[in-house]
Amino acid sequence: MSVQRVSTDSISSLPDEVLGKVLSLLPTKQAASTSVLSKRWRNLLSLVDSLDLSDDATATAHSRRFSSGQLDPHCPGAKKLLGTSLRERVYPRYRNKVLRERHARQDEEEKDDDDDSVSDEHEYDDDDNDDILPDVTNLVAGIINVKTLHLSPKSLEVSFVICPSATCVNLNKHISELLIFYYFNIFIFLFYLKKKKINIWTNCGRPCVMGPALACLNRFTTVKLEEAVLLVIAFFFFVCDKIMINLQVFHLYCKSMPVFHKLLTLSFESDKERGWQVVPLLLNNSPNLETLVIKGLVHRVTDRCGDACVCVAKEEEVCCLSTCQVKVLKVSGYRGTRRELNQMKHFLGNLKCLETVKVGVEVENHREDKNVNKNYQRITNALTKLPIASSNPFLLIYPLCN
Amino acid sequence: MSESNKKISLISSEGEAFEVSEAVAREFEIVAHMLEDGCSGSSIPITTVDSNILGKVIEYCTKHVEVGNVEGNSEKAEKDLEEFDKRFIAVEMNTLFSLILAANYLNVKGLLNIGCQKVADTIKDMKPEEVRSIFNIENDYTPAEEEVVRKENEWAFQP
Repeated sequence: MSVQRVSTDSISSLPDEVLGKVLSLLPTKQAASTSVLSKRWRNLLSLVDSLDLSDDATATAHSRRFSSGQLDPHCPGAKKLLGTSLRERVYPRYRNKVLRERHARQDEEEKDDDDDSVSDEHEYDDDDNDDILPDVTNLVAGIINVKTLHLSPKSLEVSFVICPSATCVNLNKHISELLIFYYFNIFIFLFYLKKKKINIWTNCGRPCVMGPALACLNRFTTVKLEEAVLLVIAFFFFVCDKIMINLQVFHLYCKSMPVFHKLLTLSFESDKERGWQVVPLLLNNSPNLETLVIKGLVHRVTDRCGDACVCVAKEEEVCCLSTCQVKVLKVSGYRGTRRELNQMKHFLGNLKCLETVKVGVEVENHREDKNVNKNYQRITNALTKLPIASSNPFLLIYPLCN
Repeated sequence: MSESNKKISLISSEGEAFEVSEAVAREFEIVAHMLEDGCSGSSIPITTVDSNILGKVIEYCTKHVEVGNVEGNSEKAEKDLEEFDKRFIAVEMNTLFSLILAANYLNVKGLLNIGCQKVADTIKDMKPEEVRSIFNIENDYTPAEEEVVRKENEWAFQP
């Protein structure tokens, strides 16, 4: 085909929706590859409204990517092939939980046909888990707008085979296990969206209908996230305006996190064993965030915490809080240690749009003695003296009994 | 077909008037909406589209309305129409982009579809470097940035 060249870059000046349409007409793999053309093209994949993974090469490339290096080539069946590797690599932390749940369920149903692929002990290394999910997240982020999906019988089969252990579940209760396979489930969800009802064959050959549970998901406006993966689905459906997350699991998804345009309220709980690595990313990716709810400020000091906290001072970077639109900050479980005070100072000194700050001070109530009161006074005084960036926020400090 | 008797003037960005039947004008969804919203004026300014392109879009719509009105013999008509589309869209790239822009603005779905399809067909199976070169897209990534993007979409670059 002879193609004449164009003297000016008029294709890049076409509106987003038109380029999205063009990309929708390309095999998804090639559409994704256009992201390197120039900055203009970087995020266009999210506009694609039809996904064509019917190309076998693409499907197997995915499979390869997610399984390479971790699987036993002698494993029979795609379930083991992908299921095990994903589980081992990405979710070992839940493994015990999953196993516990499964055992509990087993007692109830004694029907558990799952294999024992996860029962061997595997020491989990914190730093070793970031490399596998990013491009899944990317892909998920990229297909938010998908209206139609073409899957070759082959890829369809894989996604169906992968799901069995995730099928006969109560979606809420066993969400973690279900979502271990979320990458494949996305396909199922998409498929479901189109078909309204879907039969998934469990590996014991029993069909199972996921329809009602998924329909519920679609209507959620508030999602309490036991497992971060639900978030993926939540923003996949793009209906959430309130999200509660579990930082422990969420940091697996740090890289290439999509933008949560609809997110208004973010709550999380600190844990002294866990860092806040993901917080700056979340804040940066939630342009419309209005309310930030934090239970406890004490968290593990890590050098990857970023600039949402004061663990490690980074002078040169612009603090992510300074661009944050948060109006309401609620902190509970505040004990008034110097570190916590510093953290509050950091928040108050950088969040420019704050209108309301509520701090629940944790005081011990079991003895009615003066020290408690004095202590509370001291904490309150220290807080009210902090420099504040926004013009005139309403500062409310109240005692929380424990 | 009484409605097709009514004439409507579409005014291009240069102020040139194109008189078309209402049926043809309604192929422009934007115009159809205007008419439905009670805009009863007989001339509608299309300020963002120049005469050359507007003429072409009208040609496209006229053909499609004509064929749509012919009863029976649909297979042959469809084939004819396909042929017409093919010839119609075989224009040089800048005209193609202008047509797409106009179709997008005027919301002429069929034309937008064939336009985008044409672009997609052109790009198909090309490497990013070739696409850049054909469309004169300036790569504004630094090598490091490009590397990051490549990494993010690694699967797309694997053979």
